[in-house]
Amino acid sequence: MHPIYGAICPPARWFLRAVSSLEVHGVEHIPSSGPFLLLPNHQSALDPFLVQSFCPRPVHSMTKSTQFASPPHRWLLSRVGAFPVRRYQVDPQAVRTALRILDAGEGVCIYPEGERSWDGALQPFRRGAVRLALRAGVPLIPVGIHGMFDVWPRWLSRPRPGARAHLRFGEAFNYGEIRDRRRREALLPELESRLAVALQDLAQVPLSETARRRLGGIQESESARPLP
Amino acid sequence: MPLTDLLHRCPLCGAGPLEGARARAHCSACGTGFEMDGRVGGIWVRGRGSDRVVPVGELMADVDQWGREVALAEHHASVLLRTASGQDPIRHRTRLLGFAERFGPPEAGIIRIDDEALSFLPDSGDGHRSWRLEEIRSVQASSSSIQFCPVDHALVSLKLLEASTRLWEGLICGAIEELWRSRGWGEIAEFQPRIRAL
Repeated sequence: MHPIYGAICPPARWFLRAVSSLEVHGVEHIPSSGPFLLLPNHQSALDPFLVQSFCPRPVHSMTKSTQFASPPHRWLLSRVGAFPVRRYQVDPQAVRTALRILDAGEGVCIYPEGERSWDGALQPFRRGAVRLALRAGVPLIPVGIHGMFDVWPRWLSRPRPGARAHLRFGEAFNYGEIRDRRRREALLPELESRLAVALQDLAQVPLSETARRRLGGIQESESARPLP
Repeated sequence: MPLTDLLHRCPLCGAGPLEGARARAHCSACGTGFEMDGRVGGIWVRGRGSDRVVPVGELMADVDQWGREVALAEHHASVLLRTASGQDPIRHRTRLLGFAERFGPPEAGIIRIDDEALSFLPDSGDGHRSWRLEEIRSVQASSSSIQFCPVDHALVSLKLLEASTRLWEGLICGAIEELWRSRGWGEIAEFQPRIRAL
């Protein structure tokens, strides 16, 4: 990874601890070698800094392509491991880039909700993100982010310090390499459900109304912990 | 963007728009005040003789409920419209990472919506544009912009200058959902990367 990545992490950690009383758990779930895919919920513009600066190994984040529109952003983002995805169309190049990074034994981060939550609740997952996770055939690590919505919701122009926040890396799901595309397609609903349950538990956030409709009653019956 | 981007009308009485800045909003019709407080995990609702914290999602649902009572044609907003004129490859060293849009110059104007189409009326008076809802292939909200991709056209970005992004995302998506339902194309499951029915 580019030296800028390493240089940004310490001040990012300091800043995140300054704007929230932050706790980090589960870093032992990140494999010490080999590829892995992080799947966090998305609450705030601070989430990429949070995940990347506290993950013990470098991570490449799939980032919306419009962030790359200005040359300074483009220069910086490509040096901190970000790669673009065009969210408004099927983007095969973003998939190729993610798989190429994983093939090289490195870590990738994809926010399966595809955008920041309006109210902190868990949004429905983009089918393409879940499909890519299954196709990757690497350990899939759910990551729960709690409290960053209170620090910097998407409708505020600046962060508001003071909230309690936590970042929890969960235990990996291992589906292994599934070559048969039909089998992968058949597993999509199962992975969606597992991921939704894991993220609710790790992040301590409820499912949004839209996500509840999309995912049916599975999550509510399986989720043992009452949600705030 | 302030709290009024989320609470684009009063969750209690339905009046709108609210006044406010940053994490505070106030309804001049019923006198209720709203303040986001990250330490309590919700929004303070103050007025009508009570102070209470209400979860954000609950207030959003009430706002949406009131919003459905306003006819589509009554909505309009000032925007800066930009259209992607192409895509640039993004590389690191020699490796291709992906592609990003190259946007043309912004154009100021007013956006309107009805049951059939989304229209843009430029302030200059020239170059009125309209996109039929059935031609729209994807919709997304991005910070203070709404972006959509019409079939066979480049990405269109509407930066909302005053109006709520969430309101306009809801209006456009809601109108498309209604159109798909009326045409018997099914219930829409997602709006990105392309509109897809269940």
